[in-house]
Formats: sequence, structure tokens, C-alpha cells
Amino acid sequence: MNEKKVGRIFDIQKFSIHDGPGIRTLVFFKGCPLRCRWCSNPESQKSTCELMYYEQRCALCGKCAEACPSGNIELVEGSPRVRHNIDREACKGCRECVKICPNDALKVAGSDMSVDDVFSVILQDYLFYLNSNGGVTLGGGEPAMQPEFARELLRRCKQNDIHTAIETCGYVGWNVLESLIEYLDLVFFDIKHMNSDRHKTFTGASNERILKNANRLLKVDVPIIIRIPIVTGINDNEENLVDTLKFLVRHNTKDAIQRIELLPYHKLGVTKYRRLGRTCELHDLPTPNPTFLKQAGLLVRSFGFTSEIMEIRV
Amino acid sequence: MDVTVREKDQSIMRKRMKKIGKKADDALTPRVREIREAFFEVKPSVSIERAKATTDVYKKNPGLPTVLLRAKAFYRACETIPVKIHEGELIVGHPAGKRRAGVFCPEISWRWLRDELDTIHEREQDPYIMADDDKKTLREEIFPFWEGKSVDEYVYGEIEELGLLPLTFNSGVIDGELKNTNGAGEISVGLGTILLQKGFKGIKRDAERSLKKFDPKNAEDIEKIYFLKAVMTTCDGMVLFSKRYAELAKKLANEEENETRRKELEHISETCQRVPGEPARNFQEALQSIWFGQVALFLEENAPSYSPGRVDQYLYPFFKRDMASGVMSSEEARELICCWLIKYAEMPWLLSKFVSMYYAGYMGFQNINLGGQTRDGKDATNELSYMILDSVKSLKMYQPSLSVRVHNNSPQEFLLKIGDVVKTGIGFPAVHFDDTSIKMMLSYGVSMEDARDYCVLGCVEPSIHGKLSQWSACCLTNFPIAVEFALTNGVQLVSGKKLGVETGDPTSFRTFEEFESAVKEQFKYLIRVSAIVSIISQMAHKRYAPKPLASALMDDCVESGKGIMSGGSRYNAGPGVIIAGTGDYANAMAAIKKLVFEDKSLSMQRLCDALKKDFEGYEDVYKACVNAPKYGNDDDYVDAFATDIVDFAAKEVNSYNGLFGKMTLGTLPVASHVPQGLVVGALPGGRKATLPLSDGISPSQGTDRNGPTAVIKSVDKINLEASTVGVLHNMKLDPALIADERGLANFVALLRTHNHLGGAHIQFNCVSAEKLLDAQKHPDQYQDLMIRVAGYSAYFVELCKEIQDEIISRTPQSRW
Ligand code: SF4
Ligand code: SF4
Repeated sequence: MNEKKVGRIFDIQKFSIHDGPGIRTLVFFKGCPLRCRWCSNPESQKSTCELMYYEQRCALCGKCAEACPSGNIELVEGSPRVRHNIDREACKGCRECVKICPNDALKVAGSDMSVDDVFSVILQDYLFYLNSNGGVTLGGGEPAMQPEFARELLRRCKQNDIHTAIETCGYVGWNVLESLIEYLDLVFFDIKHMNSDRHKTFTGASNERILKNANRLLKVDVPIIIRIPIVTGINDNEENLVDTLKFLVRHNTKDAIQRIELLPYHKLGVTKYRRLGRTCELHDLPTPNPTFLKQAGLLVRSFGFTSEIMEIRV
Repeated sequence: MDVTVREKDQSIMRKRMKKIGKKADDALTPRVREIREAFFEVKPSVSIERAKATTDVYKKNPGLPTVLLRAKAFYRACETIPVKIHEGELIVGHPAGKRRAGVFCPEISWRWLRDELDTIHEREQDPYIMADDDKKTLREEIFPFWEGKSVDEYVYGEIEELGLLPLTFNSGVIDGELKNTNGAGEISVGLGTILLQKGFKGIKRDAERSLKKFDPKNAEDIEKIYFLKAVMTTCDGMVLFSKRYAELAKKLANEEENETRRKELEHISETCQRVPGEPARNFQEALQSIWFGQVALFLEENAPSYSPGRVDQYLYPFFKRDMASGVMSSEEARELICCWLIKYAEMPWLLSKFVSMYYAGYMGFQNINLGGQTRDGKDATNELSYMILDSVKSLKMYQPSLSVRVHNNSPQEFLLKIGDVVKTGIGFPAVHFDDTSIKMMLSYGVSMEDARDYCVLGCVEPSIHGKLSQWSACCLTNFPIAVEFALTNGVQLVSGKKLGVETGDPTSFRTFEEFESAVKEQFKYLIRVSAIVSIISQMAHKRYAPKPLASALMDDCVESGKGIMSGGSRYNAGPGVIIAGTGDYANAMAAIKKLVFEDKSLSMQRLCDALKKDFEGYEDVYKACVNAPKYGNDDDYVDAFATDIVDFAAKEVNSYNGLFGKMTLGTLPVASHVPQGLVVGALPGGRKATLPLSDGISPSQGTDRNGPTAVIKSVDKINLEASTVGVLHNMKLDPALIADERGLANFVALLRTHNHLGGAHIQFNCVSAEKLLDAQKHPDQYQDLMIRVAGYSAYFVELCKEIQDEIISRTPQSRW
């Protein structure tokens, strides 16, 4: 098999401590099969490199427009001010405009890195992993969308005795997930909604494949942390949570679930949509009611699981 | 990126933090709380009592050898300085008889106070109040006498003679004033090893015995005889001083109606009757004795960094005995400890306006140390270490400074406790890593046992209690300006003055190596001048400010008849040359290498033009400079420059000899990076003109973008042990990040890894920017908000605006 050793990564964050045990390096993969409306990393969704435009910083100098080899940027007269138009379909993410912009108003999300590139960054914090029982977490985006790259990266980690984790939305082929498990010490698995129609409405895909994968994963010998986003008006109700928990109890036959993390919706991603030239449909969505979150935590515990509410710190 | 935390969300954490704060106060006994409150009500002031005593003695004894004059002046001060015991105190004594009063020493320097007499009470940084009568006495009786006779004037004259004034006085390029406007300090005298064991009476007996060895018929013995006599007089002075306290306590006891307090006062009286004249017998005597030792040091000279050292080690036998025999409960021990600790805060180091820019916050740098290893290499932490840590945490005072030593076998419990104190946001403790510090000491040729027994003095300087004499900071030397000089052929951008040497037109450098060697030429020159100023200052102190009291408390001085200013200590090194701006230097060099010589995307000429204009009109150059590799991100390309320059500077500095040992390098510029930044124009790393320089070996403000692990990696690439005077590394920390168990565990992992990687020091600035901004607006509400300014804690609201701003601008490490 011809392994693809280049991955499209949009960030590598060192010293992450909320995505698995200890001090960790988080590798963000670009590209995701779902389109969750509440996504706080919208730049992770598309597999292509995307230009992000920081309007506040832009002085409308026009240098980017001159620099773009394909003329994808245009400054258009308009009131009250000049409009900065980017042809996002045509943009190839070549970064010429980014290099020229004097105000750091442009950035490209996504760069192609070799396994060596990423792994050398991972290795930089090796001693920190050792002393904290930490390691590496692949997140994103969906790491399993770039399975060969992810697998090779994980293999390299395990070769060096580094603890590994993955965050997956579960909407991938089982064979792909299965191929990664060999090199995984921990899986974060998202379950967003138990009602397939609602799931489809809010994420763009139905949930059957996800639940089926969850079921299969629970039969394998790998520790799992279930993550449930709590999004106001979408799944912040007891009924859905109870359904989810019932499902999990039923399939947790190997007691693989370490805990359930509840991730309340937050607005930190909203401005990113604008930078990508998209509108965030949920921009006025309030954050979930703290009372419900508390209840949710209790509910999770009443099903015999450990719960954690992963609050946002700004 | 989205950062999440556990169930205990931030607001809950905040509430919890508040609770901890409150609980901490609750942990203080009502007595301690009252003393603490009384402290905060007092404004710092200048005391001239000692100056009066000194002037009187010098006037009446013309021609007496200086060391004897100093001793007699000391004795007179012990006789005449007001004595005062405050409400509720258990440990007593102050060198001015007044809380927060600084001791003015005209024989060291007086001109600064003459110039500031009418403004010192209202100056922006560290104001002091003064009585009008005192001002009059100074003007009429004291200042006129000292004209032409102070250390300050002697040094100034010599430096002027050598033509080095423009570069070394008030210049920000090399600041050599410290040792001429102040006493020397920067020593950990053997309070634990000599004073507690022998008492001043014992030391005097030793001096008498030693005296017999010397004969005035031998020229080389005469000085020794004077010195030993001076030691005896100072010992008598301290015995007298403590007697006066014993009498006062007795008198107060007789007047006291409250039975409990009367007993306490009687006990204080008995204690002062005994120590520091005799060896201490119990915990209270030990604390009182080392406190009197501290008072004695300030009576000898107003100076920084008189550091008690490893108090949890040398006090432990007394503590253990009293606890075991049941004469002291742990509550009583804790209260005594608090009463003792709070005394250090009462002692400000009196500074001129100029120097206070460098050492902001009424700091005395009286450093106490906990933990580490024993002389035979075992873990040294004990119950007392924990009790003192807890007391410091509850007291929330800016002095004494607290340092902890961490080694490969430090107990997890101790490290967790460090995190527990750090997260309260008091800025303490500073963490020192044994392997590197021990290497530093070994390089001075000390024994392995002494090296393991190192203490930390001043800001972050490893030393050896009662044994090592080394001025940490004689010259504070500006490093990034060497890059500027190489780019201007020696001309300072902000002044247009030629202060550097001529290393050629910058556009004539054909390779990066040529440029780099020009920068190093500039360095060599700065270091050479620093060395000269250091030697002149040392000679001035030797001649005009010998220190019989401090010498009496150092091993070998009494035996050899030589004081610390004659090289009498067991070990000698320094003076230290302290450099500021390592991070800025590395960033500047990396930017030039990459942009001008490698990518060739920027011409040297254009870069120089842009720097001259502080990047105005050169936005593209600015962007390129900002985007060049930055120190503190675990990037070898740029970190290599930091590593190289510390090695280079150490070799260069070590090639000069002070009076008693090799000169030494320190990368711990306390707060000097702020005033020294004012004289440096724009730098090629993208730092704009006159902004603060990077402090110690920390990354430049706001340029470390990869979180704390990357910063630690970058810092530890440097051969820190070459910087033997010490290393300073500040890291801002959000306390919420270590509020829970998981956060604390990771914090400990961070410390352990730092230790394994060869770290030397780290200190955490644990506050939020919002809190600081609010404190700027409402200083009244933040009186007790403590903050770290480069290696020490001070009250935030007592700092000047520039330093406040600079603290706020540091990158918050918010990725926990
Ligand atoms: S180059 Fe930058 S500042 Fe100029 S118009 Fe483009 S985005 Fe705006
Ligand atoms: S990234 Fe390249 S293709 Fe896209 S807009 Fe910028 S210059 Fe044009």
C-alpha cells in the first residue's frame, strides 16, 4: 500500500491539559465529515486550505489584491467603506497575500506537513509527557479522515512509548477506526444526538453510522471517554440525554467508558465564521443553562458514569 | 483554540480562590492579623538616627582607622537608636526603632538625599516621608560634614578620572551606581552557623583569641589588629542593643495590666537578655537571635539582599526540640514564625530615586529558603519547611522573599505545596533547581558538601551561608544595546552620543559572522568597562566602608584577621556583572541573520533606516522583524543565540579578576530591564524603541506563543550554570489553571521537567490582566495585591505606572 505521509494540519497546540491525561500536544487535523452548526472550529471542517480574513486589522491597502497570482482578492468601492472581497472557491491557499499583508490581516488555515514534521514537534515535549503521564491527542477536524497519516503518526508515538489519544466524531468507516485502535491508548468519542433526523438537521448526517461505530468500539479493549456537546435548543433536554445514557449503558459491556464529558456550547468560534466568509447560523444562541448542566451532570452519574463538565475558560 | 476545564468551572474556582484567601487570613491568629494591619498603616520613612550617631563619631575621632570608626559608629548607634516594642509583638527590634523606616548611611552616599530632600515624599516610585526637623539636621549638620568623604564621591571621582562617566552613570547602558549609593549587602552571613551557635559574646572571645596571633610590629598585622578590635566593638554594640530591648520589655511588663501580655513581655525580656549575646537555646531565642542579626546588618549599612538563607535547616533543631519536649505547640510555633517573618517586611532598603527604578517596591531582597538537599545529599524538607511555607502563604507580605529548592528526589507533597502557595498569587515562592545551582557553586571550587548546602540570596542568587562573599550586582549591563552599537558604529540611537566602540559601517559586513563579531566587540567593551567600575567600587568599599559586623559572621574572617572587604571569607567570587535583555538579543540576532543575510529580503541599510525611525513608515520591515523566529518557542534557530551569548558573556566576564576572585556573570536584572529599555532604540527583533527589555532569561514580552513547555525548553537550552551569579525566569500564570488537582499535578510535572532539563530558576506571576488593570484604576482596593517584578514581590499599587504596564503586557500563560 502506498502510504500517504503528508497530513493537512491546522494547528499544533502544546501544553494541552484538557484532552486526556497529563501534559499533551494536540494535533489538529483539517477536514471533517460533519457540519455541526455549533462547531467552534469552523476552519477545521473543509479539507482544503482556507484563507481567514481579520477585518479589524485590515487597512484596505490593496497589497494582497496585487499579490494574488490568480486575482482572487478584490477591493471593491462601496459605502460606508471599501469591501474586501475574496473568491474563496478559487483561492488555493498559496499564502502570497498573507506574506505581503503588512497588518497580519490574512492567515491560511491548514498546512501540509509530513509525519516527520509533526512528530518532531511532538518529540519536543517528550520529557513533559513522561513526567506528567501525558502524551499526544489527535483532534481537529476528524483525524480519521486522514487515516494513513494519522496511523503513521500514532505508530511513531507508540514506537516511542508516548501515550496516544484521538478525538473522533465517529462518522467514519469502521475499518478506518479499527486500523487506528492498535496504536491508541484512549478514544474520545462524540455522541451528539440520539434522534437521527435531528442529528441530520444539525450536523448534516444521520447518526446510525456513529452509533454503530460506538457500539463496535465499546466491544474493543480501549478506554473511551464519551463527549456530549450540550447545545441550547438542540440537545439540552433530559430526554435526549437519557436516551444517550441508556444507549451507553446497554453497550458498555466491557466497562470501557472512563467517563462522560459534557461540553457546553460556547461562542468562541463565532468570529471565525466571519473570517472564513461564512455566517454562523447560531450566532445568537445563548450558552446552556447552568442549572441544566448541573442536572445533566447528576443524571450522568445516576447512570453509574463519572461526569465532567468541560467549561470554557476565556 | 478552545480551552476547556473540568467541572469546577472558572467562577467556582474563583470563589474557591477567594475562600482560600479568606481562609488564609483566618489561619492567622488575631495577634498576627493586628500586627499585619498595623504594618499597612505605616508609610515608609527615612530615619537619620544612625546617620547622627555615625557623623558624631567620625567628627570626634579624626584620624582613627576607618574600620574602627565604623565599629564605633555602630556601637554609638546601638547606644542611641530609639528602641520600640510594638503592640502584640513576640519578636522585637528594628534598626531605626520604627516600622518601615529606612536607615540613612551618609558615609556611603548622601548626595542623592540632598538632591531629593524636598521631593522624596512625593516621588513616583517608593516615596518616603521625612520629618522637617530631620531635614534641618541633615542640611546643617550632616551633609556639610560628609562633603567629599563618601564612598559615592570617591568612586565617582575615579570613574570621572578614567573618562567613563557618560557610559556608567545614569546611562542605562552600564549602571554602576548600585554599590556606591548603597551599602554592599548581597550576602548570607552565618546567622545559623555562627550567631546561633556562638552568640556575639562567643565571637568576641574568638576575636580576642585571634588578636593574640598578631603583633603591631609587623606591617601586615596592623590592619588585622584594627579589624579584630572593630569586631569586638561591634559585638559589644549588639549585646548592648539587645540589653536595651530587654530593659524596655521589662519596663513594659511592669506597666502592663493584662496578665498574658505581661508574661509575654517578661519572656521577651529574658530572651533579649540572652540573645544574641549567647547561643540560642530554644526556638524563640533562635528566631530573636537571627532577627537581631538582621537588624545588626542594617545598622552597619543600608543595603540589599541580607539573606537569612536556609532557615528551615538551621532553625530545625530548635524547633524539633521545643516541639518534642512539649514546651511549644504547633499553633504557638506558627504564631512565632508569623511574628518573626513580618519583621522582615518592616525593613525597607532605602534607595535614591534613580536606583529605585531598578529595585522597585521597597524591596530588601531578604531571601529565606526552604527544602533542597542536606549536606550529605538527602532530601532536606521537614515539618518546619511546610510550616514556614504555610505561614508565608497566609501572611501575604512582600518580604521576606521566599525561595524553595527542588531536586530530583523532592517529595511530591512538597512540590504540590509549592503549587498551593503559587496559586494564591503572592508571587512566591521562587523555585530553584539543585543540580544547576550546585554546579554553579562547584565552579567556585567549594566543597561538595558546601555546594549541596547552597542558599539563595537576594533575588535569585545561589550562595553559601556564612562562607561565600560575592557581590551579585555591581554593574547592570545592557546587552541589546551592543546590537544597536554594531548597527550604528557605536552611536546610541536615542541620544545620538557615541558610547560604543567603532566596529565599522554596518552595510560593510559581508557575512553574518562579520556582523556578529562586531556585536561581540561591542560586548567586550561593555564588559571591560563594567569590570573596571566593579573593581573601583570594590576598592572604595575596602578603603572607606569595611564591614566588621558582617565579617564577624563569616567563616574564617575572625580567624584570619581579615574582613570580607579584605578577602577574609572562606570563599570569594565576583563581583557579578548582571546582564539584561538576553531574549531581545537573541531575537535581534535571529532576525538579522534570517532577513538580511539568509533570505536577503531586507537590506542592512533599510533595516538601519527603519530602526532609526522606530519602524515608522517601515511597516513591512516591522512585520518581517516581528515574524522572524523568537526566543522562547523551542526553536533552535533563535535559541542558539541565547545559548551562545550567555556562554560568551560568562567567558568574557570570568576573564576579569575582582579583588578576591574571578568576576562572575548573572542574568537576573531584577527590574533594570525597564529603565535600561528606555535607552535602547528599536531592535531588529521588532521591539520598539524605549520599551522594557526582556527580563533575565525570560522571552521578550508577548513573543512566546507556544505555551510554557516551549518557554522552558528554550530557557533550558542555555548553559545556565555558566551564569553563576544566578538566573531569573519569570512566567505569568493564571491561578485558575492550577486550582484543581489535575492542574496542580501538571504544575508539578512542569517543575520536575524543568529540573530534569537543567533549569535553574522559575517564578510565577500568578494574576490576571483584568485584575491588574483594575488595580491601576482603584489602587485603594488593591493595597495587598502582591505582584512579582522580575524576581521579587512587591505591592502592585506601590509600583510606578511603567512597571505596572510592563507586567500587564507579559504573555499570560493561559493554556493550562
Ligand atoms: S494587504 Fe492586508 S491590510 Fe492590505 S488590504 Fe489586504 S488584508 Fe487588508
Ligand atoms: S492564498 Fe493565494 S490564492 Fe488565496 S487569495 Fe491569497 S494569494 Fe490568492
